[in-house]
Amino acid sequence: MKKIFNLLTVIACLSITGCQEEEALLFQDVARVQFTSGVEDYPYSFIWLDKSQESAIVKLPILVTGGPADVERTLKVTQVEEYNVTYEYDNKGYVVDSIVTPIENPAISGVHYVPFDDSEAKALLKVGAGVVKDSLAIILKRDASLATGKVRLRLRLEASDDLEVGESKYLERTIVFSDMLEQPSGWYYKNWYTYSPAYSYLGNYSVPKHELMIRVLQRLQSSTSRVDDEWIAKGNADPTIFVYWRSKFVEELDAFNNNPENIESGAAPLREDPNNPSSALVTFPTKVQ
Amino acid sequence: MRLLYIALFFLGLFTACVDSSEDVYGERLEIRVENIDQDIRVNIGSSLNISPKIYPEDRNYECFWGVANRNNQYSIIDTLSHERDLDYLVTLNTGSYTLRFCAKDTETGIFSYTEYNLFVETDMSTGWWVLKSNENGTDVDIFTDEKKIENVVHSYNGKTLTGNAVDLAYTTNYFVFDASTDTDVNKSVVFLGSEEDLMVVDLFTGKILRTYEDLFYEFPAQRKIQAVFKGASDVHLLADGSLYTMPISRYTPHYKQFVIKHGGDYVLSPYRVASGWSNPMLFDESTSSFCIADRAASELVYGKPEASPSHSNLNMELLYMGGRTTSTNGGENGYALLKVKGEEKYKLAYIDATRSTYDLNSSTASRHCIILDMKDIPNTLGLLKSEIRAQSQDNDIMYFVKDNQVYSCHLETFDERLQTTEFSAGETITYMEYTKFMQPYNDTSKWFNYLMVGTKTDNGYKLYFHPIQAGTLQPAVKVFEGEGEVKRAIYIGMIGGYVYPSVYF
Repeated sequence: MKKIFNLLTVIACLSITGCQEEEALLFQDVARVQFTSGVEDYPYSFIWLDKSQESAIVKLPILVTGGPADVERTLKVTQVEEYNVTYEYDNKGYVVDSIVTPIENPAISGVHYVPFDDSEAKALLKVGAGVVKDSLAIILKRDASLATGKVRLRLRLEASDDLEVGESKYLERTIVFSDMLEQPSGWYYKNWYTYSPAYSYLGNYSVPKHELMIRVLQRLQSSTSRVDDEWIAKGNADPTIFVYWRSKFVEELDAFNNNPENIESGAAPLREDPNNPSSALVTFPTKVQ
Repeated sequence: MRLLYIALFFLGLFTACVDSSEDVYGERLEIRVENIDQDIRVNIGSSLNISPKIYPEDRNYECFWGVANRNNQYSIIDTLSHERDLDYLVTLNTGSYTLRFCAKDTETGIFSYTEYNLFVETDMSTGWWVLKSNENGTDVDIFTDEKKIENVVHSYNGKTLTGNAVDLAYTTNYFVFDASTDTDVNKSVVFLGSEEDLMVVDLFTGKILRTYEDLFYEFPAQRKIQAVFKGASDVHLLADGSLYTMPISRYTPHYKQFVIKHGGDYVLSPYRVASGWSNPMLFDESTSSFCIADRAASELVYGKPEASPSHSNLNMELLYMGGRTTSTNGGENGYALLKVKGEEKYKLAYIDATRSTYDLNSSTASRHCIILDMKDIPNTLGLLKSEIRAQSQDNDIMYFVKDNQVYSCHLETFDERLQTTEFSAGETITYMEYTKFMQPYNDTSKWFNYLMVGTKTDNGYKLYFHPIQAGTLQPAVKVFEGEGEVKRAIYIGMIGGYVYPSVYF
């Protein structure tokens, strides 16, 4: 009987305490900053700029948590090294060793970009007053070496006087840039979880495909037409543009691949890596949604 | 003492479980609403008047009428009235809506919330669209059960299409940008084609939504429209010898132009089997080959050359091709009349008109063959010499015009029979087409099929609608008359808030 009594007493206590109202969870944290969407490589090329232009500002979208502020807030960014990690496994599939190697061609401060402590660069490292979505602006320099090779600038958002850092997985991003033809940004991803229409309608990126597309646009549309970030963004917003132009690209590709001279020289069929005869053929998807 | 506590606990539990609501609230109030039709059809611009009866009658109610767009899951309910009797001047766009009525008892707060189907239409929502030409160009006459609306394009837009009439095609899910809401709006539209013009008009208002100048990324070299027809979720256009495709989808992206121009050296026949449910079956005169148009293919799709019977490089001319209908889709099969080039030999091909690119490239013969059967035709048939033919969608019969009279030709026996018509002496047959309407799919009593025969008179045109019984023409049950010469006619009906066209090719 005593057990029953104790049990009932416990139930009664639980009932009373269980009905107590919990206070709502309110944001108590400090303001933090991180990159917004995908943190995949951000490609950029000087190739579309006038030859006299020696620098360009690239803007990577960022997000501030904790609400807007009435004043500008300072951003802090550093260049960090990138590594490739390869693992060795035993015959049971367990990792037994790993080899860490730095990724080649890192950008050089002062050569490929304006140092972040330079007054010109610092002036851009701000989050505007009243906004929570802004961009990290980096000044890239058009060094002569970029005409023959691309470099990688791995950026990391750091805590500043005004902003702490956000989620660790959204703190780093790499700008891959050159003065050569580069994959336009927006080719593969619309945002961090969705492939872009450009990828759906145009397929894998390759420089030979890119060159073919430019050739077609400049012949049929205008001699100054580009297949750049802007053109891809326009098509991502209205994919009917891709559907129309794709048929023209396919015609050009067929003509190129069936040209006896190209076949004779080995240039046809067009491959994603023209120097590698076993690389994938350049193709376009047939999807029309 | 402990026993007392336990007893009190169970007593409390028992009393809490006893339903004493009857004692507290009295008799339950049930509000019942009557005198509102479940399906309400109303035209834009007219008044919607509803006087509901609310029971029990001896109580006071606060009332509310609201409406929500049924085709938009994100639609927010709009208030129409707080009066008990609804008197609403309909300004909603055409479409199907949910009408909601709420009657709340002011004393208890108990309410009744009932829903009804509201279909907002225009007087053009259901009727026959007759494409015709006259000295002013091409226009449309619409015939509904109640009225005739002449020269719709000119009446609502102040202009017509230039040149003689060529073709028309109906589609839904065509999007038009609305600057006021900064969104694309889904429209049911009719594509109208004349020899030199092309336009998209709103099914419900007759307003021009797009003109020739807005419909291309790449304009034809010559402004020469030859055909407009439906494909599998596409609208196809034959212009200046090239086939164009505009994909149609209710989802993004919204195609507003003929974005695909199919490449290749082809000369397409004016005849096709294209009912809008599968890839259109076409005939390339330059290679004497059957082929299809596929939005995913930059060129026409001819399929496997080893198909047996072969449908490619036939060395034949296509005299006519028409569709047979075996389901509510329409145009599943078809017949093609062929003439061997340079000889007086004729063939009749029974074809499968539903082949896809996948089918045509299949290694399975039963899938990649377009021609299911091919047989010789006696070269003495009047059918072969006719300029105007119409394939029955219901029977293995082809109708044709000879000496300004309608004949039937049975495609098994090749028996030709004169059909009874009622034309006056001054009329000349200029058009003939078999039409079939099969909606609602579960109510065959509303289905119909006619052989439509258009004639040219001294004053304009007459369009006769002959029911068919066992392949034989019955006396026309209706005759439309108008100015000009009729080119084509299709029926477009709004049923249950959805729009359906007759099966046409």
